[in-house]
Amino acid sequence: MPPIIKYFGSGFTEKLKTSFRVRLFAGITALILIVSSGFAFLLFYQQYQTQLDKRKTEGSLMAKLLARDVRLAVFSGNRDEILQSARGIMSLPDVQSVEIFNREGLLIGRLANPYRQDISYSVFSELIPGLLNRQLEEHLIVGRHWGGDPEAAIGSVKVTVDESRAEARLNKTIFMALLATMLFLAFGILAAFKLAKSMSRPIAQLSACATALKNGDDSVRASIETSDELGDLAQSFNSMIEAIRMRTKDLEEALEELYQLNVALEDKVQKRTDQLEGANRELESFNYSASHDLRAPLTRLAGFCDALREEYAEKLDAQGIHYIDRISATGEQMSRVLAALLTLYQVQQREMTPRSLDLSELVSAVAASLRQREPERDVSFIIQESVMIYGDMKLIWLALENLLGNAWKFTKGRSDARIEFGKMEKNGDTVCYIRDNGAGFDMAYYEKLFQPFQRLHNNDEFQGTGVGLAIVQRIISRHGGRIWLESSEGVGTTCYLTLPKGPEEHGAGLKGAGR
Amino acid sequence: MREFRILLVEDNDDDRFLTMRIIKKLPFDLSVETSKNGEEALNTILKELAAPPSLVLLDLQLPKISGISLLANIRKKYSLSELPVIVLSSSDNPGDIKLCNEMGISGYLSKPLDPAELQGYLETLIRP
Repeated sequence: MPPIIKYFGSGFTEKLKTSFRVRLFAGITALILIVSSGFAFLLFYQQYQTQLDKRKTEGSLMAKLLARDVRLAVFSGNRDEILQSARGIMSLPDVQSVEIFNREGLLIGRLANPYRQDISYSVFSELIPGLLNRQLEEHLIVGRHWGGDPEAAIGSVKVTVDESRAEARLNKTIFMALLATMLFLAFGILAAFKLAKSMSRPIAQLSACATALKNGDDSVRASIETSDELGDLAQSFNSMIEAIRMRTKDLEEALEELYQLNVALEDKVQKRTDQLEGANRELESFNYSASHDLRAPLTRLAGFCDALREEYAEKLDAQGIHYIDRISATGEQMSRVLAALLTLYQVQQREMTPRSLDLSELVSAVAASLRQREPERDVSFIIQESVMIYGDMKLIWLALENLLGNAWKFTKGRSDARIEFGKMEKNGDTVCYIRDNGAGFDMAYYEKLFQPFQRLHNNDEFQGTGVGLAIVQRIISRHGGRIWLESSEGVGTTCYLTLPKGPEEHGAGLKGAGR
Repeated sequence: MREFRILLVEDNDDDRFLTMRIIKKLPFDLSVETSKNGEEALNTILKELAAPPSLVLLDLQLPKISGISLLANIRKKYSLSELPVIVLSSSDNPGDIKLCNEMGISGYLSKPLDPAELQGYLETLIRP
C-alpha cells in the first residue's frame, strides 16, 4: 500500500493526535484543498459569466444586424429580400430560427431548423426602425442604437439561438477547471507528504536515538546535517549523548572498582570463615575424641573401685572404704560430664527431621519421667495444653529434659515446689515459658549461664555437669529460636523460649548443622 | 551338658581383667579363656577344632590381625559358621558394624562396657 493511502486507514484520527508528521501533512493538504477549490470556483464563475455575456452580446448583435438588414425590405414589403436577409443570419453558427414580424405583429418571414426539445434556446428580439430624424439615422449608420422607440418601429425580428454548443463549451471549461484543480491537489498532496516527511524525519530520528539511548545504546548519533534549528537540536542532542556516555563510563568504572573491592572482601571473609570453620571442626572433633576416649579409662577406674570394694572390703577400715567411695563418685561425676560433652557434640551434628510437635505433651512426659526417678518428691506441675511448635522431636525432648530437670533440681527442698509451663505473647512473638519457684540465681552471673562447665551453684547443693544449658541453647538456636532466663534468688527462675510454629519459620537453623 | 566356654579376645590388660571379672560373677558354670591378639585367638580356636568355644567375645581393635580379619578367617577360611561371636567395639563406625553383621554375629556391644548390660546379654545367651 502506498504510504499516502496508509495514512487514511483506520485510526487516522488517532494518528492525527499522536503523529507530528500526519498532523503536518493533513494541515498542508487541507490548506491546498481550500486554496485550489477557491481558485477553481473563481475561475469557473468568471468563465461562466464571460460565456454568458458573450452569448448575450452575440444574440442581440445578430438581432440588431437583422433588424437593420431587413429595414428596407420590410419597408418596401419585398418578401424575397426579407428572406435573403434572414438566410444571411441563419448561416451564422447556432442560429435555430429567424422570424420577422410587421408593425401589426404578423409573421412576414420565417426560416427555421428542426426544433429539438432536449436543447435549450435563447431568444433575442429587436425592433425594426422606421423613418427616423436625421440624428437617429446617423446613429444607425455608425452602428449605435437608435433609441428603440416602439412608435417609430415598423416591425420586429426574433432570432432564436441554439444554446447546446455554448453549454458544451461551458461544460468543457468546468471540466478543465476541475481537472486542473484535481491535478493541483494531487501534486499539492504529494508535495505536502514529502514536506511532512522531510520535516518530521529529523524529529523521528531524534526520537529513535533517544529510545536507543534509553535502552542502553550510547553509541547512537543523530545524523542531521542541516544548518537549521533541527540541525542545532541534533547537535545538542549528540553532545548530550556524549556527556551521558562519559558519565556512564565513569559510573561503570566506579561500579567495577566497587565490585572488585567486594569480591576481595568476600574472598577475605570466605577465607576467615573457612579458617574459623576449620578451627571449629577441630575443636568439635577434639571434644568428641576427648569425651569418647576418656570414657574407657574412667570405666576401668570404676571397675577397679568395684573390685577393691568387693574383694578387699574386710581389709579396709571405714576411712579406706570412704576413699574408695570418693574415687568412685568422682569417676561417676567425670563420666557424666563426658557424657554431657558428647551430647553437646551430638546435638550439633545431628541431622534434624523437624515436624509439628505438641510441646505440652512432651512436657507432661518429661514431668512423668522425673516423678518416676524421684517418687518421694512432691512437685506440682501446671501445664498449659496444646502448645504446638515445629521441631526435631529428639532435640526438643533433650532440651525439655534439661530445662525441666533444672527446675526439678532447683526446687529441691521446697515443700510447695511448683513448675509451670505455658505460652504467652511478648512483643508480638509467641513465647513458651517454664517457671519454677526454686532457688533461683543472681542475675549478675547471667553471662556465665550458657557457657559449658560454668556452674552458679556448689556441687554439694545441686549436682550438675554445667553443660545442660549450653546444650539447650544449641538446640534452640539450631531451631532458629531464642532462649533467655529471668531469675531472682530464693524466688525462682523463669526460662523463656521462642520456637518455630511451622516449617516456614524453620529456616537457617536446619542448614547450620555441624557449625 | 558340656561346660560353657567363653573365649575373650581383648588386647588391653585392664579391660581383659575387668571383663573377665564381670563374666565370672554370672551364676553359671563357665570357663573363660583369654587371648591378647587375633593370632593367639585363632590358634586357640584351631587347637581344638572339634570342640570350639561356646562363645567368642571379640574386640575389634586388635594388634596384628584385626577383629574383623579374625572374624572373616573364622567364618570363611575355617568354615566355623556356627560359632557364636559377640563383637565389642569402642568405635561406632557403622561400616564395621555392617561388615560384621554380614559375616554373621550374635551381637554387638559398644565399649566401654556397661557391666550390667554385658551380664544381661550373656545371661540370655547362656540360659537355654
